[in-house]
Amino acid sequence: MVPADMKCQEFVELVTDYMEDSLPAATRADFKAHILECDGCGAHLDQMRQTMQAIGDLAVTCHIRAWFAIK
Amino acid sequence: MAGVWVDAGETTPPRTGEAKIDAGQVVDRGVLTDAAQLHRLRSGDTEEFERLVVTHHALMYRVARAHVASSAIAEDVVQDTWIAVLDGLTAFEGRSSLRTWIFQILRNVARRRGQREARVVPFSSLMATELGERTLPSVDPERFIPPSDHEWPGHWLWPPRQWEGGVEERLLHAETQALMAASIEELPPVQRTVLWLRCIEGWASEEVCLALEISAANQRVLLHRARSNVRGSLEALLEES
Repeated sequence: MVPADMKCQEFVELVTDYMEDSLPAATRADFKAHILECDGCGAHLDQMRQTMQAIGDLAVTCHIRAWFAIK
Repeated sequence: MAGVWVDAGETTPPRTGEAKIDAGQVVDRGVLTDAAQLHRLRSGDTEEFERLVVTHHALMYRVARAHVASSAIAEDVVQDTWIAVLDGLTAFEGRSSLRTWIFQILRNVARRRGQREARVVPFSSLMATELGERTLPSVDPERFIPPSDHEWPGHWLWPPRQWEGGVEERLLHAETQALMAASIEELPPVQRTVLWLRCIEGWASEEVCLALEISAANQRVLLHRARSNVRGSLEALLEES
């Protein structure tokens, strides 16, 4: 069962605050409980992490530094 | 605080308020490693200065470009910043990292230049616009069960799926990388700069706040918007096939 106290639509707005460790303790606890019980939000959180990783990799593989400099 | 931010004739007043960063409180990992470098710079080591330029020039240009109207003006701003850095090195107290200090100077030079150019959109108003969009959802509201539902309003209707089984490789495909580069390029300028500094340059959030003069809370909002945008583009591409 999905915990009723945090909606998925609220969860997706809190991902960065969670990753930056700036959620209030009670909200952080709700957020973590929600991950355990909601596959969709777990996948969303993983995708946000993979996106960050992929952007970092992009810089290495695509010479994005040069791209960034000339824009 | 006096003398901490030596910046070409303008001092930044100490800032207060819970959402802002006090420079004195920042634990700056760059401070100690800068000592030897700073000594060489102060004694006029031109090779050391060239290394500094090579390391920061492209990024400085990018940040300047977000402040001013043309690439020519952005180049001027970066040049003027390097001159101010050279002038200020002896007075620099090393209480922030060298690069944080350099980006503070850059921001001040860009802001002064921006004020002189009537057609320039100031960074602060770009940022206000982007932060005004904070109510934009990170994920399309249509993917959630509508609020009218009695049982599960706001929960997933179409949840994201795990990116696994070959997705790792697909993230490295040229097609995926081109899309990612394009979606980063389409981001509003301040979001793009924050994403760049955090994701690619590996800056700490405190350092981004100091360099761009934004609050920690606003930095997170901008980073979140940028991340969410790029994730959405990637998801659309990866789900297509």
